[in-house]
Amino acid sequence: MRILLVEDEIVIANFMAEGLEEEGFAVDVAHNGKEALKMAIDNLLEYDLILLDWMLPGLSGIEICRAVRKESKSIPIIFLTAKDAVDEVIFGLEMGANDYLRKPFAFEELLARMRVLLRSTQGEQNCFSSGSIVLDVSTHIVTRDGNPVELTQKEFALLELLLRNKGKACRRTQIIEKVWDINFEHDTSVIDVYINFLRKKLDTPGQTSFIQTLRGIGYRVNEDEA
Amino acid sequence: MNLNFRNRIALFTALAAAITIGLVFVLVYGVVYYSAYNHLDEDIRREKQEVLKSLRWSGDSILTQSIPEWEEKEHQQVEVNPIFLQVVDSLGDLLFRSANLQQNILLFNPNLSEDAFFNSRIGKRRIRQGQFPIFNQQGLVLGQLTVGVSQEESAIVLRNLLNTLCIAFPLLLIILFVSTAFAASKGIEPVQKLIQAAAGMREMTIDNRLPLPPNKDEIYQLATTINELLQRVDSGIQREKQFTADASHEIRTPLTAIRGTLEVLIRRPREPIQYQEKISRVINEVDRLHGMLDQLLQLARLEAGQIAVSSTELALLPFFQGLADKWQAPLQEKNMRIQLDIPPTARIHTDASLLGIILDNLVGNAIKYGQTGGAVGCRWQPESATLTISDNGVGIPADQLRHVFDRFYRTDDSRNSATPGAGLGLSIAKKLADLQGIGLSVSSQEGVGTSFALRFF
Repeated sequence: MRILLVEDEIVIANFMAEGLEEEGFAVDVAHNGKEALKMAIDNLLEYDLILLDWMLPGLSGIEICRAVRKESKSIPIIFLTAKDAVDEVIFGLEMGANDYLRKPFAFEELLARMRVLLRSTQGEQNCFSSGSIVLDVSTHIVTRDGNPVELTQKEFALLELLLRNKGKACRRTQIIEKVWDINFEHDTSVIDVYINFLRKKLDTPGQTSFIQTLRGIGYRVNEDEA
Repeated sequence: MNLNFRNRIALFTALAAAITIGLVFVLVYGVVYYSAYNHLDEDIRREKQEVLKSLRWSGDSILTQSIPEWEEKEHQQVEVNPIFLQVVDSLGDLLFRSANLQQNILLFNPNLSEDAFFNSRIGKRRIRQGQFPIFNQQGLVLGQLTVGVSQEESAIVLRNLLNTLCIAFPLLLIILFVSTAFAASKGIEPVQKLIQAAAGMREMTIDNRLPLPPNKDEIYQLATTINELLQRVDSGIQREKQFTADASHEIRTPLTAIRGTLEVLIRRPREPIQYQEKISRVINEVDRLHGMLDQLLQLARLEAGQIAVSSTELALLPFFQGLADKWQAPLQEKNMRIQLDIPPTARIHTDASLLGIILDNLVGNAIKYGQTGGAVGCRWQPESATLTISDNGVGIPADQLRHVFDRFYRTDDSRNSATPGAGLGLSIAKKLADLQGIGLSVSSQEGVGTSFALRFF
């Protein structure tokens, strides 16, 4: 999952990015309105959700929200605002935001609201599985045969992407876009490294891997055999 | 009395009119009264002359014979404008009376020594009488001649006049009261409209304005004045609203950072170095919040007028050198230096502690926004009594320059950068300068630097 975080306060942007990355999200941070708009419009399809501060230098969050809505009706937008008047909140929602959070907010609440919105665009499912491997997005736990398996953030995010697209090919560019953030140097060999980590942790020894390599294209997790 | 404006005007007008009309009526009645009796008295005098011509006296007694006119018809009739005559001697004994008097006697004063006129009655008939003493050649009073004429007609005329006046007086007043009240209510109709419009104003509708009447009269001026007042109140409210919104934003932001950083920190176990890093970040935010609250309180005290200003004579250079220690640490951090261009003789009259706060803010800003490795210039110009604090930073764009003294105002660049600050320092400095009568102004050139000038009067 890749998130665009628009927040001019550096300390706030830092903790949010760190917290979200720990949850397995890839996070791009924009510190002002113009930068945010450029990132949002240029790479709109790569983002699964936008976290938008209202008061920004340059362009306001409202203007960015409007511009984004012109391009995409579906991408979830959550307003983060220090404003608390009801009419301002209503105005924000009318401008196309899906939800809002008043500052200061609880990080857990932000995560919960993000999950609700992502569920509506990514499907109702919280749990994804392949064979005996089960990934629960809400608890952030992966099990094999009912036993928890320790995964890093990147491993978790990569596994989630593959399982969400079970039966479909995940292209290398798509994997980079969704799992790594914009600061990532485009050396896609890192994908192969992480696929190897996943295979080591989750494959049943002696059997073919649950992740199939599609040479020159990417990777795929096949549908469970009946 | 609890009268509304309309009725009060009507009442005052009616009272003034009552006095005027009353005076006119009394005058009219008096003139008519006087001329009526004057006319009667003329008649009586003429008759007296006639009678005296035909009177004869010898020694001290009056002879009443040979008065042929006395037997004229008019003295015998009672009905049409009769003239009554009566002569008495000095003892009051009746010598003669005209036939029309029948058995009546005209009232007389036996001791009268000069002519007199008065009203009296014969039976039910009102008459005007003139009484004239009759003198002989030696000037001795021989008797009294009394002439009476009917004054019925005059009395009727006077009574009618009086009745008319008495009825007309209240009638006029009532008509006047009603018509004035009507005119007044017409006159204050625009005022009523203003009252209605003003009464409908609430805090939410403070941006509404009163409708202006079509004529540029006093009401128009009143409405314009009220509208101007509303404008000032409105902008005051807007400023306060903006201030509250800004203050809440500025307080929520560090709170969000503190809460979020700590929350993310305790979500999972971490290395000690991470705790150290995050917690010192939080301490920074707490300091920032603390600093801002201090500034807010300072500003609130300033605005409530709770800061006392004293004035002492101050040698500027030692004062600056005393403050400079405080600035050493931030100066070194940015590898900057301070350039004092202040002659040792420079002296000013000011409040030292308040000037200290102003200079802290200005020099602090110059360090904050100045270029790394640059200099902060402090220069005293004795001819204009101006102290200039300048930096060689990025400068402030011209369109943002006029806002720099606004509370919570930060230029886009400074907001965007990592430079700490809530945008309160300059508004505090400005308020403190105003308080002491120091002129604080700013000039800036993008890419060259910004300078603040303190002008002492």
